[in-house]
Amino acid sequence: MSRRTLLGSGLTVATVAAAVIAARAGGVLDDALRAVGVEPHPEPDPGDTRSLERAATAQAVLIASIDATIGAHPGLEGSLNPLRVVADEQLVAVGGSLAATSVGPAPADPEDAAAELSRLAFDSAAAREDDAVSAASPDVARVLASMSAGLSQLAAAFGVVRS
Amino acid sequence: MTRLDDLQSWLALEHEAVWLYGLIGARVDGVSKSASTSYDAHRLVRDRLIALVDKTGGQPVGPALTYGDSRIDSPKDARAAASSIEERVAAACVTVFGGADADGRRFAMTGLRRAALAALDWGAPVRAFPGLD
Repeated sequence: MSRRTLLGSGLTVATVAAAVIAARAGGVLDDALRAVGVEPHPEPDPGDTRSLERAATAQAVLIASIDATIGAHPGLEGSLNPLRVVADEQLVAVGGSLAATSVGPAPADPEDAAAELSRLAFDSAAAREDDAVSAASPDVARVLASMSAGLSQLAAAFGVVRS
Repeated sequence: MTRLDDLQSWLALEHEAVWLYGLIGARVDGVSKSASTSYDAHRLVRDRLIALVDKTGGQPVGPALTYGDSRIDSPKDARAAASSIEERVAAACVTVFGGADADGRRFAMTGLRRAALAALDWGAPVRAFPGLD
């Protein structure tokens, strides 16, 4: 498989994963899809769907925590904003949203706050790896594995954030 | 069970990485320690992949005679080349991951995470989906 093909399939899978969750949340039925000329996809593995939902929930908490940290420590905004963009890209890909996500206040010390973000990303990377290993769909497995690696990069980057 | 072709593609990149970091360590002052660390890491993965391909019933691919003639004379050149090989290794690991069993996926994840963090260390940006984006 060429790199170009791999990239294309990966991004398509991420988009499809988001569509699966959105359709389920909205109660869209297969008949409704057929009515507008779209042949529904085969039913996704329920375990894979739950894995993507867990990824979306954890990602929303991570981003809400970034926002809380920026709110408490404006001096970190310049360093955290580019990382927030990456985290948001992950959230969108797994069909997540920040609605109804709330987190506690960020630690009072800026370095402690950055370390807490690093810990959140690290823990989520481990959880996404476990879900990727057990995924039924090879494409969902790839997306979650790649997201886990991206979260590891975020954890490392949060670990060196300074105001 | 892990797909043989996917493992061979990853192994071919590990050969290239071993060659590249040997070159960087020999030619570029200022990054030799990082190059040495990366060289050792890729040699280890290369040897494990050779054993895995052999165990899977394949004939492990060997190193290429050459990997291009681009000059790597400065730390900037070294960082660009190292980031590139690490990101290509990450892509190969993602491919292996999808077609592997649980043990193969854990092995591929270790390679993927190592490559993603190494790419970061060599100056690549943080990516949402290393190996996919």
